[in-house]
Amino acid sequence: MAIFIYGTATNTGKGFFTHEDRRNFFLRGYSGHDGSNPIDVWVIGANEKGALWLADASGTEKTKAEAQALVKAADDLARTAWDDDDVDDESADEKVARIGSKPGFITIP
Amino acid sequence: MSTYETLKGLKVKFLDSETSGDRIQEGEIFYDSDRTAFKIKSHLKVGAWSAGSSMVAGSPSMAGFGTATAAVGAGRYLSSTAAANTEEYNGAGWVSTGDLNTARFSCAGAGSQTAGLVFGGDTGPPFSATADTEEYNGTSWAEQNNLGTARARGLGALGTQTAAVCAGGDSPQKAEVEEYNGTSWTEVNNLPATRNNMSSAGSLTAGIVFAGTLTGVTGTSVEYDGTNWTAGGTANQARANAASNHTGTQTSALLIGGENHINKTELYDGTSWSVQGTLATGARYQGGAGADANSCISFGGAGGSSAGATEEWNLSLLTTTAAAWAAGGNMNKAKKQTAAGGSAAAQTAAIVAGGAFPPTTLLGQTETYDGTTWTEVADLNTARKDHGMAGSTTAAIVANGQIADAATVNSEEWNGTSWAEGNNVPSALENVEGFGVQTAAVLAGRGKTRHYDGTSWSEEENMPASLTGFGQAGTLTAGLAFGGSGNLSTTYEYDGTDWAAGGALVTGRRLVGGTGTQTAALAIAGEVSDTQHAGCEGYDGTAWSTRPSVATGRSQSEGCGSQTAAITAGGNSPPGVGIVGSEEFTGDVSVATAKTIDFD
Repeated sequence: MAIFIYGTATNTGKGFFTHEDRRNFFLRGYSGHDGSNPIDVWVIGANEKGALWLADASGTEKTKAEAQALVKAADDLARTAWDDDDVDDESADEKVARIGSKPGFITIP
Repeated sequence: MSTYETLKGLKVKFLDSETSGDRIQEGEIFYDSDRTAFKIKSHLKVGAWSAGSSMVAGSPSMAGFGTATAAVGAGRYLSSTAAANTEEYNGAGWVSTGDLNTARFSCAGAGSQTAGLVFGGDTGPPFSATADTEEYNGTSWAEQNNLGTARARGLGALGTQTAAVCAGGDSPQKAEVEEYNGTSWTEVNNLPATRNNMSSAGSLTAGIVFAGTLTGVTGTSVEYDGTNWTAGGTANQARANAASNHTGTQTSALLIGGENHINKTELYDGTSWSVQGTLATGARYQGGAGADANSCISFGGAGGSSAGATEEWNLSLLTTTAAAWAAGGNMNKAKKQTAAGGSAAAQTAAIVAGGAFPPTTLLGQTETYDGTTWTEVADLNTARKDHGMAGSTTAAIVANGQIADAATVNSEEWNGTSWAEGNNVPSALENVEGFGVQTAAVLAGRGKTRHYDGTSWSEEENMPASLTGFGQAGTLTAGLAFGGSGNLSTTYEYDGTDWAAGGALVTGRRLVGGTGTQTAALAIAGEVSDTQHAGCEGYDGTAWSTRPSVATGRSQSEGCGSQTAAITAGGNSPPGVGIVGSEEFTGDVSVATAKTIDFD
């Protein structure tokens, strides 16, 4: 049996996942992008309660590769935005001090 | 109409079934004070597992010993090899301590967190049983005289650092037993049959080994009186590589999980085994620690996400609901590099102000939270990010920070409705943090410490280091600064006059959120090696230990509330993508629950 379920579901705020959910299954959220809009990507413990949570959240199950691609798309956008955020006569160190280091790539479990 | 008193000749009290403290009497029969139900109830002990904080480097095949609130996990199979890691559990979280001198797994342990013993184990792969013995003093390990026979894989382990027993093991499967007197090992009477992969509990003069492998997987047990081995009760489910409450007794032994991902727990009362509560995650090769049948922990183990998991066993009149983070309301606007009220605010009365909307748009927006909904209220007069803030939804101070690519000296006061200009801070700084209340606030960062008394700022003793990106908690007279840029693990405690060194974070981090008090602080997420981190830690005034993780790893978020009722809002995940969602933390909650007695 797989360890994780992968899916997308919009975080609707309070009650989207509960304390009980967190006790019942592993849950970790990542920022993704589908090419048009930001999208919330979730890695969920592969048990019955985890699967039901994704269904209750009106989520869409993805393969691990699909979920990773969505996260990478968000990473790519963040890296491009970082590259494009230049100020004249600013050194590399000054840029890092101003907006932080260049985003890396996130690998989902 | 007949009453209970008429039938039984006893008066029955009216009590609230949720009554607490010393009014809870096990077995006492009472009418629930909710008279509409007319239920006769009694408080009965119920055993249940609840989630504990994850290990720092969880993995299978550790030696476990100690109690549920002072446990040790030593050695392990980590990254496909034997490891020397040692971790201590304080009842709330784990912290790394001194490594074993000899890396190993499938070893055994006995004793306490301040006087422990580890012996035997596998130093491979390839398989290589060791006879090595080490003593633990609560800080470090020291080599001792070796076992007479090298062995590994599910040893029976009983007793203390100065009176221990090592029974059976592998390979080949053994029946030999040795006793340790604090100095050396001596051969004593063998087990009735060769056995390994077993569990054990009790002392040198009243111990029991149970389950494991004989010629096949078994549920049988044998009891030890310091001289002879005699047959004990047989568990309901045969199993191998299960955990136990090692420092429990011969009459209060727990058999926990086991091969293959068994989730059942059984309790031995000296005569027979009874099935108890189930683990949330079936486990094998996990560690165990506990002094009796009432409290125990199971930790680590093999299999996917359970490798670092901890579960706490409580056999009690109280039902404990484990600590966890849950989704809070979404803010009206995603933001990072914001600031929040901290411990002067609350989970149900939180405030954040300013920040940046990714990538660099400065915000003056202020939002308050009532436990359900974030509401946008009056904006700061000067939009800013990387500023300091302290206070509540009714009285707060914001100061310093970055405006238009430059640091500012500006400060503003919040009165619950709007922001008014305050006196300027002595110098312009960004990447500062605030804690305390509006009339007794501290603004710290980049080496500086400033006090605000509600009217003016004063320059105080410099911080010990030029910190940025750190977390904060507490008050002007009992503050805390932890972590910081460079993945720092350092903590500094502030008493209103001086900064002093505190305990080190388990995981060094920067851009970390914080809230709580100096003796009960919460470090929330942050960034580790340029990657958003979900792990949280709690501080008890002396040491940090792990806590449940947030669902969405985030840096540059902020916290409000206490160590047991907190909220974190905003932040980055990944860098450049602002988070709109908040998460609420609730600590362990224990409630008395009474069972209805059915006379039908």
